[in-house]
Amino acid sequence: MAHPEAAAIRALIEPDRVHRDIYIDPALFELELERIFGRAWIWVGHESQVKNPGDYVTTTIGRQPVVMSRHSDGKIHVLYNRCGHRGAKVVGDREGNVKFFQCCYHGWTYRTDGTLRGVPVPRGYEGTAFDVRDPRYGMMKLPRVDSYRGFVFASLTAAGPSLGEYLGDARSSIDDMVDRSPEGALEVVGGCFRIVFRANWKIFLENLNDTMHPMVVHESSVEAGKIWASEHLPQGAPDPLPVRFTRNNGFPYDFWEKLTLKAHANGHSFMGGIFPPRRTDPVYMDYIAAMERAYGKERTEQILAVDRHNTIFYPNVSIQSGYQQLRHIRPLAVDRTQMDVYAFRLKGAPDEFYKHTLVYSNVVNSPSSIVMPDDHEAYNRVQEGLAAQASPWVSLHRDAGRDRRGDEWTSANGTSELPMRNQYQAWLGYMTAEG
Amino acid sequence: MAPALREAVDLGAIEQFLYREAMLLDEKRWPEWLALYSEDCFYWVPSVVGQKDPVNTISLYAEDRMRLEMRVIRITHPHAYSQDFPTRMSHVVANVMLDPENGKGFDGGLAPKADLVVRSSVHILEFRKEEQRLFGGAVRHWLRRAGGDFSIVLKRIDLVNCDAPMEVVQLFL
Repeated sequence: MAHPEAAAIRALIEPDRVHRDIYIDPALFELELERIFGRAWIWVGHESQVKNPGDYVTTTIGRQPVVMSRHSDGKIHVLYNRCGHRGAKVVGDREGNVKFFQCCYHGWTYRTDGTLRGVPVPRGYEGTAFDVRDPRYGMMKLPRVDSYRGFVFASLTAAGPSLGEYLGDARSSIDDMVDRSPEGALEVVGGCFRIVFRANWKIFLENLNDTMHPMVVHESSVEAGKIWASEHLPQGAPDPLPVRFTRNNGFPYDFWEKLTLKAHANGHSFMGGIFPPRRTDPVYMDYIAAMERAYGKERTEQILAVDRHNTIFYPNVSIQSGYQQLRHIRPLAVDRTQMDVYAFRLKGAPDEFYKHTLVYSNVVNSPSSIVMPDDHEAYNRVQEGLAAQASPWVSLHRDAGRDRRGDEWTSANGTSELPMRNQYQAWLGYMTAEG
Repeated sequence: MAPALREAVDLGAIEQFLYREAMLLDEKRWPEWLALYSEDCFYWVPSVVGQKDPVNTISLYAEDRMRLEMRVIRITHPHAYSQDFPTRMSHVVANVMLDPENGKGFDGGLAPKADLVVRSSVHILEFRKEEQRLFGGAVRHWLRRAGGDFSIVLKRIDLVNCDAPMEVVQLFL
């Protein structure tokens, strides 16, 4: 497939609107796999998914199968999940623990750092150009792998900024998530929600910091919370968590306009928290007590004062740092995306507090949640609607031209479409860079 | 349950109870469906095969009565956009038997206060817009006697595809 020229790609992105082709053109999707998912730092997993030597999990970067493993020396590796012999995908399961990987086809075995351990009847290779020590016949390591506070990222290309440069100050959202643990560590909860929707991956990314949709899209779950509370609770009673997690989406526009909204030069962004005021229920007070035992009063207050809802690390992962949730975006096709959702336990936090994380997972982030189906309906309808040739342009004009630019962060009014405009500047950077 | 009591249970009445639940779900008679569940009920759909509990592993559904009621309010709300084209379902319930293990190892540590545990299989045909989907799996009902009838204390549905990538699921299984 011939790739469009850089000038043609530039013509798709204007400062305040983008061309519909970026959502519906299969050729552009292929180019995104090559130039964005093939180059950027891509989140592949969390260290706690591979706690012990021999533990592994599999995933994909774009369409390429990879495996994250912990080797006997404790080091984490991200390997192409491909046999060095004839190319079969070596690791078939999603996760597990092995002494070594064995290909199901001709029985080649690999150590968990990817090095070739052995081939059957090696004399067959005597005198040939094949060398058992040649790394090209192992399960090859990805060119770049690095982690930040337990979050493991990898890149399919050797060149590019370091993970630290890529994250920049957006790492402060990872800090926010990890610092909330009294032990300063996270642990993935068992299970993973794998949710598929019929829309381009970028439509989901746009929605994460879109604060003009909740009161419309989520009206049914906002009302569910409100109505349930009015029928069952005395006036002024504190909201039970499922009510709190649903009705806040119905806050008036005024609330959303005042939210913090910050966009990072590398395409990342975050929005301020949407669940004020801070909780005062006994479970939360126990949690604060555990934090104060670990960090002291002042530092605890400093940690809890950070209040962010969705943070996006462009292009493939988003966290809700205050609710211990992570969403991993996996583009499947131009009009099909999979989202893998994980929940985390804050190590050292009381068990009851952790159960509230699970309430959030179920009410908001499960495929059968009370909130998400309406988001997915919107994504799917955007994809369907964009088939119409009515206008080639998608509008991102809200509060355009009123951004407050800084060196690393640009900020705006909470209902601005700044985060989307910012994502497309990053998109343009990746898509037009020389390989 | 004592063996004598076990024998005294009318399996026919249990079957009719499960069929009634299926009918109420298919016909979206939500208040009547909710009335089958006890105040202390739990509705559970694990996300992994053989899931031990709803605490150390996330679940597709892990609903107490409050959340079941909220769901019903949502799916019947006129602005539930994802129900603009309402989902339709057909449940087929089969292989109904008293659980010889009495639910042992499957109650997720919830210790439901039930009188009997019933196993069944379910196939659920679901349709919305262009696509028809099939769900299926093993169901366990923990039932409490309530007058001449039963009340559901815990329902666990182990879907065959519990860990598959799937599009959103909106109604009850």
